[in-house]
This record gives sequence, C-alpha cells and structure tokens, in this order.
Amino acid sequence: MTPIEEHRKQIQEKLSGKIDDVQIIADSRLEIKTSSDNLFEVMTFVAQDLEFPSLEAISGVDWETHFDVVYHIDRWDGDSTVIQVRVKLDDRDKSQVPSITSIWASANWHERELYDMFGIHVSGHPNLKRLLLPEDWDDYEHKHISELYPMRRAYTLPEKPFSYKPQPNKEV
Amino acid sequence: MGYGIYEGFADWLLGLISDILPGQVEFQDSLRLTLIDSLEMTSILVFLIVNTILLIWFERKLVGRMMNRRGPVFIDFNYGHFFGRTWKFGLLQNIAEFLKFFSKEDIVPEKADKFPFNIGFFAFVVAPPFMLGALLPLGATQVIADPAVGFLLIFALFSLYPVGVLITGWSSNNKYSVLGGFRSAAQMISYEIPLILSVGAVVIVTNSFSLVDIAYQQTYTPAGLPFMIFMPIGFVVFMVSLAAETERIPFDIPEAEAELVMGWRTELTGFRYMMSMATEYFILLIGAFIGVSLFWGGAYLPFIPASTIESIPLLSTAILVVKIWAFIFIFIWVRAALPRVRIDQLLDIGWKRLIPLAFVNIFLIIVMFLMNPALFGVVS
Amino acid sequence: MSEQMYIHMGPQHPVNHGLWTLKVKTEGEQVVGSEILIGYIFRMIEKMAESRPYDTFQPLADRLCYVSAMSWEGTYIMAIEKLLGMEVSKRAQYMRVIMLEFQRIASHFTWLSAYAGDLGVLTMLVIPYREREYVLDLLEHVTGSRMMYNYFRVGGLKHEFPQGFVNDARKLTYYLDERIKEYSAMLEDSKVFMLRSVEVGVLSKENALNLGATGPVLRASGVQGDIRKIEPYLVYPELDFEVPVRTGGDCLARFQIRMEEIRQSTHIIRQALDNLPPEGEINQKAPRRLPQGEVYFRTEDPRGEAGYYIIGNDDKIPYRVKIKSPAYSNLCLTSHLITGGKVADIPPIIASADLCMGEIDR
Repeated sequence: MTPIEEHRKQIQEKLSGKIDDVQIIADSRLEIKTSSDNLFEVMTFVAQDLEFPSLEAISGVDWETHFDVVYHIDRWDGDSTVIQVRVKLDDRDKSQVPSITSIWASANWHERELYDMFGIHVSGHPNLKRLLLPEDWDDYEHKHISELYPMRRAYTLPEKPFSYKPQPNKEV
Repeated sequence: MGYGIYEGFADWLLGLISDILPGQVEFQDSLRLTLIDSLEMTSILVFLIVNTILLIWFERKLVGRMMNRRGPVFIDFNYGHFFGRTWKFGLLQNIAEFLKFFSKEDIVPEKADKFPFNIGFFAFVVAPPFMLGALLPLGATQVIADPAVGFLLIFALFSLYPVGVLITGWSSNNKYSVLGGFRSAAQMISYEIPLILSVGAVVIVTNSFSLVDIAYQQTYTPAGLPFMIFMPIGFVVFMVSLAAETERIPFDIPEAEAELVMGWRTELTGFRYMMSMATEYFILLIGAFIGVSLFWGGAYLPFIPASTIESIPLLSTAILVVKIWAFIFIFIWVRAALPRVRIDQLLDIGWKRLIPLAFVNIFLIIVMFLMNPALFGVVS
Repeated sequence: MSEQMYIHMGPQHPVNHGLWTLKVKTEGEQVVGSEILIGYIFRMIEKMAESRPYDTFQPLADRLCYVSAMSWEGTYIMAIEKLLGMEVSKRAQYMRVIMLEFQRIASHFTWLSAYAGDLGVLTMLVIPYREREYVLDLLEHVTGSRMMYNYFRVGGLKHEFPQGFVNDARKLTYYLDERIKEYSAMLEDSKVFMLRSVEVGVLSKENALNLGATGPVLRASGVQGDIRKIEPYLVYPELDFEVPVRTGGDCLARFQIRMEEIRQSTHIIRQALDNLPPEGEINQKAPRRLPQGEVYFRTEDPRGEAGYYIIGNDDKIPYRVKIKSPAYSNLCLTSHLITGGKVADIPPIIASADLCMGEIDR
C-alpha cells in the first residue's frame, strides 16, 4: 500500500462523519471534502495524526453560486503526498471559515489574503485586515459591492486605472 | 626650528618690502615671525584639503579596481590618446561633486531643532578637525605649534566629534539619525580608550607627546627602524581603534546603510552632507598623520641618517606624504574586504580584546625598555 | 534609552530590496516587535491569468519575479501541460533543465550580492553581478532577452539552442565553479563575516515547518525539502545531484546551502549537456482549450517551492489560477526571526530569506 492510500484509509477510518468525501484525484494528490464546521477538526487531524507539518497555500475559488476554499498541505520527508482540503461555502453573503493559524502559523497571511481577495471571513484570526490592498480600501468610492473583493468573478476591471488617494495624515 | 623654505620665502618677501619701504626695519622681527606662521598655516591647510580631495579620489579609484569597476573616469583633463587608449583618471570628479553639493538646496528639516542642528554640526563636527591642522608636522621640522601636550590635544579635539554627531543626530528629529548618533557616541567613547592606551607605550619610551620628537627618536633605534617593528601589538590595536574612530568599514556602524539608511547624517543635505563626508576623510588623514609619526617613523627612513633627510628641502615632506598614503591604503584595502560588525560585537571587541591587548603591550614594552632602552632609541 | 520606538523601514529603504514596509518596534538596539506591510506593487496577476487565454499569460508569468523569470514561466507551462495531460520530448525536457538550472545560478548570484551588500562587503555586492552577467549573456543568446525570456512553450520550447551553445555552457560551468571557490574563500574565511552570520536569525526545524518556510531557508533548518527529489519533474530523476542540507538554521547555513546549490547546478548542467538527446520534437502542438479539471503543480524555484493551482473549465481561459510563491512564505516568517534580535541583524536576516517583491505582491 502506497503512503497516499494509507493516508486515505486512516482518514476514512478516523474522520468518518466529519468529512463528505476523500479520494485520490491525481498522483500523490489526496482530496478531502468537508464543511467549514468540521474544518478545524479535520485540519488538526491532518496536522497532528497524519503529521503533515506544512501548509502551502489557501486558495479561494468563486464558482458564482458558491465559494470553495482549497487548502494544500504537504509533508516534506520524502513523501510527495499533498492533501487538498476543499471546503464548500454555500452562503455567499455570510461565508466564513475557521482560522487555522493555531495549527499552522503560516496560515496567517494566506487567510488574510483570502479575506482580502474574496471577502471570506476567517473567524478567530488574530489580525484579520487587508493584506495586499490598502487598509482603507473599504472607504474608497466603489461602484459595486463586488469591487471590494477583486478576485470575485463579478469584479470587472475599472475603465480607468485606479488612482490611489491616500487618506489625510493619520497619527501613527 | 631650522632655516627652511618658509623662512627663506619670508626673508625674500621682507627684503622686497624693505626695498620698497626703507626705514621700517624695527618691525621686521615680529613681522617675520607672523609671516612665517601664516605661511605655514596656509600651507598645511592647503595640504590637508588637497590631500583630502585626492584621498577621496584615491579611495574611489582603488576600491573601484578591487571591485572590478573603474571608479571615476570621465571628469578629468585630457591627457591625450596614446598607447592605444585615452588617458583619463577622473581626477576632477571630486571637484565637480563638491561644486554640485554646494549648488544644492540646503534643507533644514521642518521639525528639526534648528539651533543645535546648525550650531552643533558646524561647531563640533566640522570645526575641530580644522583646528588640528596647526599641530601636524608637515615634514621633519615644519610644524606650526608643538605644544608639550602634543597629540593629546589632537585626541581631545577628536573627542568633540561624537558630541557633534550626537547633537546633529538628535536634533534632526529622525529615528535613523538618533540611532546612528547614539551608536556613534558609544563607539567613539569606547574606542578612545584603546586608542590612547595603544599610544601610551610610545609615550613611555619617548617621554614626549610631541609628534616631531617621537618621529625623531625613531632614528636612534637600531638601524633607525620604526616603532612598529618593536611594538606590533600596539600598532594593531592602534589601527583597529583608529578604524573605529574614523567610522570606517568594518566599524562604520553609525552609518550602516543597510538598516539606518545614512545613520546620523540622514537629514543632512547639500553642502552639510558634503562637509560631513569630507570631515570623515579629514579625520582619517589626521589619524594617518598620527599613526605615521608614532609608528612608522614620521618623515624619517630607516638606514638613512636624519641629517641627510633634513638637508634636502621638501624630501621629508615627500616621505611623509608617501607614508601617509601607504597608511591610508591599508584602510581602503580593509574596506574592500570586510563586512561590518554589529554594535554589540564592536563594543565586545573594544572592551574585551583591545583594552587588555593594549595593557599587555604596555607591559611588554616596559619590560623591553628596562632590559634594553637602546631598542627604543634612548641612549643611556 | 529604554523607551520604545517604532522605526518604519520602507517602502523605500536599503533593507528591503523591493517595495514593502517593515515596521519595527525597538527598545534601544533591541527589536521587540515587528510588522510587515506588503501590497505596494499588487498587480492582480491572478486576475489577469483568469481573464485571458492560457497561452498569453506566459509573458506575465515572467514578470512575477525579475530574478527567476525562467522558473516562473516554466512552472506555469509545466502546470498547464500537466492539466492538458501532455508529455514533452526528452530533448525538450533536457533543454528545460539546462535553462532552469542556469536561472537558479543567476538568481543565487543576485542573492549573494544582496546578502553581502547588506553585511557591508561592497566588493561582494559588485563582483557576483559580473558572473551573473555571463549567465544572463548565455540566456540572452538562447532566448533573445536578458531577463524576461518567454522561452518555454506549452509542448516544448520556442526554438532550438543556438549554434555553439553546448560548448559555451560547459565552459561557463567550469568557470563558475572556480568563482564559487573564490567567493567562499572571501566570505567564509572572514572572521567578521562569520560573526555576522553564525547564530543570527536561527530558525528551528519545527518553526521552519510550522511557519511555512520553503527552499534554502527550509533546508538550512535541517529538512530535506527539495521538490526536485520529493516529487520529481522533467528529467531530474535521471540526473545525479545532491540536495544540500544544513542543520544550523542560521544565516550562515542559508548562505552555505545557496553556494552549494550553485555547485550542484553546474554539475546538473554538465550532465544534462552530456545526455542531451540530439533529436527530438521540441515544439508540439497544444490543444486550444483547457479540459475540465484541476491541478496543483509545484517545482523547485531558486527561492523554494513555486506552485500553481490551476482550474480548467473546458475553455481556453483558465477558471482559476492561484500562485503559490515561496518568497511570500519566507517573508511572512522573517517577522518572526527578527523579533528579539538586534536592529543590526535585520538586514542579514531579511537578505538571507531571498525576497522578490514581484512574486510576493503578485
């Protein structure tokens, strides 16, 4: 049994009920589908019992009807398995995932970026504010609410290049 | 003081005046002395400024070559095209840059403390090194003032420099400047101690503070060898401390550009900045004067009798200049080769390595001196 | 001076090679806290990738990082090929390996000069650029551009190597080997350099993994983390090379790893030049549309693990392109490394992470 199948078996045994689906989608890519309520438990299991020490990336995907948040987690010691955890968020207006910074500290910026680009709220994040866009981006004049979160599909590029107007000097 | 070129020139000038204005003979003795002094002062000032400018050029050119670059090339006289290339050395580059700095706007930061920013900088940073000119021997005998305290006075004026740096850094109301100023003050104060201790051994064996006397005594050592041969530890301590005092790599922590942008001179612009940089080289030049006089035999050479050197006009000055530039070459070489140390490591080196070494040096020299005073040119 | 003070380093400051701000809270010379602000050159490059046909994004992938453009476009192209299920010929694969390894060398030389410059060895700031220029000349000879190559294609490469390339490349690798010895002698034999590098910015193995370190930073902390070995792509399994690993986790370990990697890269290039198949289709036809499906493809960039998460939707425009940048992860953890250290240790620590703002802000 290859390592990836072992991981799959373990996940199926230990996390049944917490996950919707687990399957091998490609060479050394294992996908877990779960919901945002169970995400933290699944992640804790992956990090501690399966010993996947490193979070690679958190990607949001806007499917127009719903959001997907995809986590890529890997282990470095010769095992090429990458676990891909997919969370489906149905409620577009109140989309929310729990923060996993307590499991992997590197999730900090990835979650901020997720919030920044997609407007997906990350509950329990220590410092959830804009990362790549200006911190006062919300105060700008926006034609549409979607412009707040540029990686959403509804966001269209502005006709004129956006000019950055800094706010009057705030005392630092 | 013997009959040198200044006296000759003054006598020629006074002879000219007495030809034009007969009957003024009673003023001539005081007038002659004043004339000699002002000639000396002018010459040392011109000497220092010209050497500073050339020194900056020398460093840029040399470091450029060491870094696989060319350094300044274009701004120079046209020496013509021969041997298959155009000969230009960028000698006028620094003149051009001085002109550029002087034509720039002088900006005093809006929130700076104006009075110390202006006064502190010029009074404590720029002025002291210029005062030192009077104490430097410009050859075997040409020196304006040779007071009994000698180079102690030079070190005393040196120690005004960190005060000015601290005032400038503090008053320019910039965080980098403040940090740089504090670093500079800590560094200079802690490195003055090994600097003075390292020359202590020289003072012990020569019983003098005068640069001229110390240089002259090195002609009495066996074969006229300089003190560097007999006190290598003291020389190394002196060199390291001098590098720290002049804020050069590896000790250029106060203006560590990687973290502090430009250190205490971040807010200096135009001619202020130029003056601050020029002062640094000025101090290096003066340090080289001291080092050459104390450890390299000043204007004298080993194996050649002092009287021979003194008898040929300007030969002693030429020897001194060559030695000074060789001395400065070491600093430039070190600059091209070493990273800078951290402030705590720097203080460690100063307090834990150099000061004990300086004491060891003094102890060794005392033992050697008691066993064989002739080694240090003392005839008993 | 026990008062706490905030120092803003950036957006334009010698310490940050690129536009970002490091907000440092200091107590005298001690750093007690820090915050990193990024986003100054945010270009929404992922959005750009999602709004144009997949093959026209490749020149933009070059612009992700001006120091390792080749590996970014290479990663993108290879990810697309993986999604399309294409297999390129052995010759094209060997050519790609040669290009990628030369890019790694050029990138490490840039890093070396930045690191040495931040420590104050200005000689070593200038001299590695000379060697880098030889490498870039070679790449320019092949691709026609010094920095933004646009040389890879879906299904192979744009064109063949020019005449005489193999000889030039082999000569250059031997020359670089000689140079590396010189650099090691100049820096590692210098006591002051060791003072500034040893035990500075120590990152333990657990922290390195938890904080998401990749590349040389991770390997300096004792983890055998090289995608070329873990999940081989191209013809790396056929080539003999070692992955340098150090356990110190400090700036010196990162320095040594990168120097060793240059040696290994020259070794790889020589093998690849020897084994380069003389014949082979190097530019196959590629389908117009990306199939339904997704791929997470990663390669070993000079900075660490570069990844693309691409979702295709039966269209020529990719539905989603997520770029996983190694410098992004490494910058995030420098904040952890500099806290508790000295202000003067900030430049070597940040330089040793090898940052490139183009790929961090994207």
